[in-house]
Amino acid sequence: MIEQQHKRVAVIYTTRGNSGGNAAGQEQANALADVREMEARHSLASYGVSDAWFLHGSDTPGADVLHSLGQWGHGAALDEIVRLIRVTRPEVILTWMPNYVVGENHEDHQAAGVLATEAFDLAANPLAFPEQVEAPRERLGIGNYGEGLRLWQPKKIYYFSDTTHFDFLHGKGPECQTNDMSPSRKVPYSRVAAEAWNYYKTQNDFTDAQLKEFTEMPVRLIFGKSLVGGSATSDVFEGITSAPVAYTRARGYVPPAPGLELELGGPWAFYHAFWPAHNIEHLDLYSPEAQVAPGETLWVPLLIRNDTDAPKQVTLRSTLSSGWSQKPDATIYTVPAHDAYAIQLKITPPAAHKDTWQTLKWSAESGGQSVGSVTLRVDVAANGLPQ
Amino acid sequence: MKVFLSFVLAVFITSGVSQSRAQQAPPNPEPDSRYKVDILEVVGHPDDDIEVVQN
Repeated sequence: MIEQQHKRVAVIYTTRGNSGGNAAGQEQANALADVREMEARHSLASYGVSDAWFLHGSDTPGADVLHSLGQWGHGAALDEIVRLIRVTRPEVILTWMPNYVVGENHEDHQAAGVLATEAFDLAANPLAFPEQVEAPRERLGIGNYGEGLRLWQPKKIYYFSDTTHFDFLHGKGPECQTNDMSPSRKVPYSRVAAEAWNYYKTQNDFTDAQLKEFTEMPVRLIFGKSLVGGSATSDVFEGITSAPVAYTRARGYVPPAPGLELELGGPWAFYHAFWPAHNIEHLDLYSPEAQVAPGETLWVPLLIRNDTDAPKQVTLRSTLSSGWSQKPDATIYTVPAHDAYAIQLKITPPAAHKDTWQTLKWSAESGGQSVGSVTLRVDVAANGLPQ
Repeated sequence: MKVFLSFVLAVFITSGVSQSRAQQAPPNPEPDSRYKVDILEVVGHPDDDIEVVQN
């Protein structure tokens, strides 16, 4: 698409990749980041991309998006991405899916998707980082205040995912085959990707077979939203012209209805509020899921919200598969009025359930009335990242 | 009559001065087009861009 339609592309990396192993040499931490920035620039150049920016987030191996946002400085990272949207004025933004998924599920990926989505909704808002859009008083002078940028509203946003199961992606966005031939290079796009990947020596610990599988997979995009119409699965540039579009306000945070409610906490609670706030509630694509190795501990945060005017006593009951254990054992929680009780559960699966999916369920009641229930599908398999 | 002509002349000159002040403003500087893109990728790490290179 980039090549065939002569599209211009730029890339923002929210980290410089300062963590993880080094398959090429001894360099670690900041030195590794320096090497990886060069690798990325060389790789991008191999397929015609010359503009890239590296933000100051630290590479944080884990699966909790809120951890990355905290480590990076959420506001500072958002400031930089909004600025770069105003500089580059993109028609389309491509980014990681802001969702918790079984797969690599890297928290830095999720955080990049969260920030890109927020920036999509803020770059045309003059109250968002207004110092960026203040006109310089004398543009040829020195000591000007204001950055002199213009407001800019991107038109579409699409996501991609590091999931290991693709069932939920079908029909949710355009899919591109990688065996199509590059007109200029006369090789399949998978080959272009493999050549681009070769520049990442510090991360290239794949076998040839793994690299072949990785680069020959179709590119599956997930439609986020469009301000210029078009269907979810149509061409990414359908409906896009060179004319700017007006600022479109996202829905924003919608508080829950008054009452008692049980829900999954942590990143799940965040996304539950985040998606409707940004008009992407259709990203609720599958039942909540997680991954844990047999014998290791799965963190399950639960949240009891009490949006009533009186304190409430809530009884929690769990329904776990045979052989699973849960701590703590407390089952009765007192939740003050207009407050929430965050329950941190540690769940351990038995070895016998290795390589199976299990469904865990928790339900709550108060005063003889059901408060609700939540389920979590768990893939009992090892994941390279800590949860 | 001289007074009247002087008045007309003064009005003419004054209006001419005010007209000469309504000059065309210089064009508003355009955003720097060298960095305009069609697609902006926002990713977490070096190598994440490979996810869509095949595209």
